[in-house]
Amino acid sequence: MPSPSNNFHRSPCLSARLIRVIGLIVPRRLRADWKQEWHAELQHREHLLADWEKLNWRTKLDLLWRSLGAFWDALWLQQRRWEAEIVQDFRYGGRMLLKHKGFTLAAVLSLALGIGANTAIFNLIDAVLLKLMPLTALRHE
Amino acid sequence: MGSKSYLSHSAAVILHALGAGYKYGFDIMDITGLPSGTVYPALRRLEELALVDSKWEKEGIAQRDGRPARKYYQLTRDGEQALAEAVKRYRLLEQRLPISSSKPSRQRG
Repeated sequence: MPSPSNNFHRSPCLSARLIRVIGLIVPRRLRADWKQEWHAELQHREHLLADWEKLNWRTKLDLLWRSLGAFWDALWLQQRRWEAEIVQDFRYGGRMLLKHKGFTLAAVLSLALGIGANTAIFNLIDAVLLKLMPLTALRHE
Repeated sequence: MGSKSYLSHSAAVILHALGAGYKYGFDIMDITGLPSGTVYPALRRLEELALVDSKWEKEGIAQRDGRPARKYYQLTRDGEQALAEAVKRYRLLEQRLPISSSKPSRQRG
């Protein structure tokens, strides 16, 4: 993919400004391409409408309405931000656990003890209280 | 390929428009009547599913018009197959968008 040219982002119209603002929530690594795609479509449509002598307030309003759809597009791209950030978080967590081995051991032991104690207590309650309940004649025939 | 069998109607309509030669987002919106908030996320999802491929138009064309290069979308081989399946599944697709046999007569992009 050719690198997007950023020297065209100068359209003064409201739609272009809206795209610029909405672009702030697009993940940084996708932002330049995203903005270029929207700016190019809007500017192309403006030129086309001007050629057809149809660039009036109604068509401008339509363009503005279309550029509002960019918000949903930008929102959809948020999942890519989360994907990237989740991977980074896991990698960072893994590195920190390896670095602080004492803490890792304490955390793992705490979890093991907690899970083990819970299982043991449940088994005890199950054996002493639940299984011994007088529920032998449950059939309703 | 399992994901292709779950194509939504909107996605199928967009694939159909792409198959008919409408390759730019705004042109797809014009011909399908779908809003931009539907078309663009759908295009991104179709691209993720490798049913659609995107490219930038040549810089020369864009510079001649004094605007940034536009991104266009086209069906991949898998996309063509998915479109054929979608047409079978959504029988009204051809009626809603009766353009499957011809490219757009006026190149708007």
